[in-house]
Amino acid sequence: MKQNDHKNDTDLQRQLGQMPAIHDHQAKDELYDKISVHMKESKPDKKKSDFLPVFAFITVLLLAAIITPAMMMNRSNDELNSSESQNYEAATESGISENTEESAELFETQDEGKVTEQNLPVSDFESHLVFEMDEGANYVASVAAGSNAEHIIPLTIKGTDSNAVFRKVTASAAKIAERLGVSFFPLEGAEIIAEGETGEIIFSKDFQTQGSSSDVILQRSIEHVFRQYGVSEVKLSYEDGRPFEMGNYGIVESMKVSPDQKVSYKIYRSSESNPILLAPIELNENASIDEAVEIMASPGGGEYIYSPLPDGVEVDVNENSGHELLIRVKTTGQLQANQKAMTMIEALLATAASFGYEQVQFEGLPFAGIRTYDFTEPIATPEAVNPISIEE
Amino acid sequence: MRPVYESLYEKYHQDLFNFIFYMVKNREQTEDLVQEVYIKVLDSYTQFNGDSSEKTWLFSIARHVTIDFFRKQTRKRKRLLEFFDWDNKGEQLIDNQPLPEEIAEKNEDIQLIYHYLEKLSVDQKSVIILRYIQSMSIQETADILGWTLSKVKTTQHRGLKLLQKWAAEHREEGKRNEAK
Repeated sequence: MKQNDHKNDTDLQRQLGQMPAIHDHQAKDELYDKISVHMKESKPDKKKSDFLPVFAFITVLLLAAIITPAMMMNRSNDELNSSESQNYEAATESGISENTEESAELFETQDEGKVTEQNLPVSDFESHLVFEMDEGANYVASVAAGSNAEHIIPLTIKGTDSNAVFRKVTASAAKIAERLGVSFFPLEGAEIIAEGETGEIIFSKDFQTQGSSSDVILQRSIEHVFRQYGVSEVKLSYEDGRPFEMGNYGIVESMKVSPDQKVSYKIYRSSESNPILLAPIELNENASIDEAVEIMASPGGGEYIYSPLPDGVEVDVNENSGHELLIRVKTTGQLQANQKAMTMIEALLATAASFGYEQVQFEGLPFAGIRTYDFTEPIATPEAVNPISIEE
Repeated sequence: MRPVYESLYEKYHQDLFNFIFYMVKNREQTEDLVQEVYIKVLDSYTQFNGDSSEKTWLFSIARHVTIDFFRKQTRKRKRLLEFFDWDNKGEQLIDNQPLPEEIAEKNEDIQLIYHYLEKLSVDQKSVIILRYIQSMSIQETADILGWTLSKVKTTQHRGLKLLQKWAAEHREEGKRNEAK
């Protein structure tokens, strides 16, 4: 599949390189004459602008008088919290993976509405998103089941081997299921093949599903993994050639995979010692982005499922264009540029991606950026969630 | 002012015209926008401090001028839509320009790509034009757009994927029509 993609990419790039140069029909002097006329018309009135430096100077003085006392107060609050942030850093250092681990403090204070990690250097904030699956890293899309097999937890496993294969990396990830706080890997032991829009999943001959909830989780897991590879139809079989038997569904030889699945991303965390993961709550195909955000804001949604929106935060969504979503954030409390806010932003970005938006413009955030996110411009939506690094 | 204009024109005019044309796909509008770019550039040339290259600076102004143009167009279209209550049909107003002769002379694949460019987002279109039609490096593109390298790569990747998808859909449709 990658070879086909590469060939198509090369062909397309070659064709783009053959797009002809479009020539300007107007002469250089003609253009200059037009420009000169406009420049004379648009010369500013010098006398009016003389007031600007004076006005700017007075404004700066006034702003300094207002901001300085507020900054001094914030600084004393920061100093009070610094010992708590040191705990946070210690917790992240002991984690299993630099991409998924967050501190126990963050989890403990979620309901209390406190902020404990605000003094972290921005580079220490952990991201739950992958923006490029195909470039720069050997990512493999896999899936775990949450507690009681209620939800699937997509994982994007960063392999160390450039030929990382699904079966091998999933088996490695399954060894740390307990530390991730997930119950099992529904597709463990299976091999997947993706060729263009068709795919195949081959289960080991002794593979068995475990009850009706596992059947649903298995189905969703297959859909999720193959959707990541752009596959629309999957053939299922055992390695000895028998057709696949999916518990209560009976024999299932093939399965259609819808290219899109609208979801609301919420936080999944089964205990304080486990990392925060993003869990997709599946929505029906007619759901609107407003409904998705409402679900994100609501508490609960299953065992160990939490809202990614901190207390006192509300969000409104509007479509800027077919590609871009505008998210206005309103806060009644003090939202700071910390890990909790970043997790909220990333859950919103991932939710927007599932609705087909390519970028999100945030408004109303009381800070200009977190980590590499610059909120003064639209942020690209991710391709996958929950990156984890493992030793294969 | 004239020597600065002459120098910029000789070095960058063709690329500048090309970039804006592929963005807006209308010769008259391109001529107007190119004019606007030169006015802004010449107006602020004394403030150019060499932090970026002259080319990067010129193209970033060109991109801002083009985006402003799109914003004005969107506002105009919205007003029209509200007035006539045409629902989403306003989108169809975008790509009804005749093919420029340079494109009309090319094969069907090139003409299709030319149409598909219109369906990309403004950001994707900017990246694809700068990277593949203007042959700029990822670093130059990032400097012009004021983005990180990673954002350029992501946007480029998504733009290419969409172009490929539409081309594949077109091929499938062709096969279905042949089968009939």
